[in-house]
Amino acid sequence: MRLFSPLHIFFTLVCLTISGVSLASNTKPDDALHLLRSMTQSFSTLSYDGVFVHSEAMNMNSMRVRHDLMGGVEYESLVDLDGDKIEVLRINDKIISVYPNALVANMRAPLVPPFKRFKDVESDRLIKGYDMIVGDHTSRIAGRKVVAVKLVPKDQYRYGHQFWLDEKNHFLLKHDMMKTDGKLLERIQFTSVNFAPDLKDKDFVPKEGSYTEPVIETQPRRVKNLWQFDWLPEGFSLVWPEARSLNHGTSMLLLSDGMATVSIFVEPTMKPKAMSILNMGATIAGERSIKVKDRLYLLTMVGEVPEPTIEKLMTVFMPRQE
Amino acid sequence: MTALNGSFPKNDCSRENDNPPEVLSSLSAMFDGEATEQDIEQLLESDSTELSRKLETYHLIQQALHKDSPVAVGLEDSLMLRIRAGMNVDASFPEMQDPRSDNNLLPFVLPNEKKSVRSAWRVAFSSVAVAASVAFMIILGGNELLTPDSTTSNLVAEVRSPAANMVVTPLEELDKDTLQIDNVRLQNYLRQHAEQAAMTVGQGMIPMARVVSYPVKE
Repeated sequence: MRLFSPLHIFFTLVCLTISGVSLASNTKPDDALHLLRSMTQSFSTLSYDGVFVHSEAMNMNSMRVRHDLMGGVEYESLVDLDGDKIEVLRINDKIISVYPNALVANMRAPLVPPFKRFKDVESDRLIKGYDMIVGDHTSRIAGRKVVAVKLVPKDQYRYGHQFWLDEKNHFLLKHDMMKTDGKLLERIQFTSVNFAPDLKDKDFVPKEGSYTEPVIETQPRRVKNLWQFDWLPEGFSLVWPEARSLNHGTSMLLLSDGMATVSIFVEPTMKPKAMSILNMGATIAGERSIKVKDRLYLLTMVGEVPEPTIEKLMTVFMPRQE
Repeated sequence: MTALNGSFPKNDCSRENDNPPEVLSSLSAMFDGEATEQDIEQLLESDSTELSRKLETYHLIQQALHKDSPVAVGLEDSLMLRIRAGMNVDASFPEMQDPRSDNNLLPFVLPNEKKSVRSAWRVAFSSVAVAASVAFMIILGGNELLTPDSTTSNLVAEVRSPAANMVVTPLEELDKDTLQIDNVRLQNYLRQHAEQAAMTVGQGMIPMARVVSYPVKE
């Protein structure tokens, strides 16, 4: 019975164990990605009326979000519950900013609200940058059972994320962004949410006496991207193939790993500037001038990534070599 | 923005005469970057809120004329910054020592004054420029001038790693710094970043919350 020798049995067990571990590690990212995809869809397919709190660094802000489909028309409302009570309404593709009065309207910059902008989960990029773990036990957020999805960064160039999704409909009820040591940087958390709201179309009509402005989205001009990176963290790539032209000759590029984003702004300048870095919660901003032949450019990067990422990206940014 | 189409509130226009013509002339000069010391003094003695509204009107007119993006950023700040920039040119007009400026013009950058949480956010990022420390140099060189239409095939970058002692400025220190002219530009970039991040990446509510809670001009 040489087939069942102790050595053979040992190797068989080792192989089975390895394959079992491999299967487990393959399954969990898929589970996590499925949940994240479902979360993304839930924003636009569910009816809900909820209040959530957003906190970063020392700041905290509460908001109310409502969403419903009525008679084939999609209604959405987001109200800033603190401060000036600004509301953004969306009725299908029409977006309206609502202010308590004209004075407040003039004191605020126009919004480009991100409604209906939750994109597909970029699984390829996410897998390169993060280990994904689905929690094996449920807890409660805003009175509802939730399942947790954790994105653990594979390197030091990005932050970790944890999502708590409603166990039944996968709606996002809590999201933490944290450093690799677990320190919390930014959080949103629903305090209450109703998935069977009795919303009427009149709930999405600006109150009498308020001041409204339709939001007209302007598409930035697309220009040839004259810049490149000599290095990028694993999973990061440019979101747009071209640059976006902003006012005053500024070009904007955008990097993403499917979760974190870094915006790059380049503009001509007359004044040399040494590198400076500023941190605020999860957001890091870096700035310095670069010289290309006889011209000086001011480079500004802003992103929700650790400081070393911004620092390094600013040193590997250079003119594109065709 | 509908303001470009003439939807500015009527009561805004009615305030045009609250300031004397010479003040408006000074404001116009400041907007054009041609303000004299006398202009600056006149502006400092005027109602900054009214001037901010007027400046916003100028800005909108300029946008309409130049067909710029309708996004107007930090206009009220812009007024203050221009005045402060003018003050900085004149050494005999020391910063932060004029009680008028302390009380009326820049209350949100006084070192010991309590700020709203949003002001802290704005001031923090607006002060990136202040936080600069000469810690390392980066040199990009090449044989051809980079121009928007050129194909920069021979450009070669030479980079040096950042020095270990580069200063990273925390928020707490920035609150004590004075506001710089780069404020408006950085605010604009932060907003652009928040909007684009929210529109590009499906990571849930955080970017959405940032966009809605961020755009405050105060």
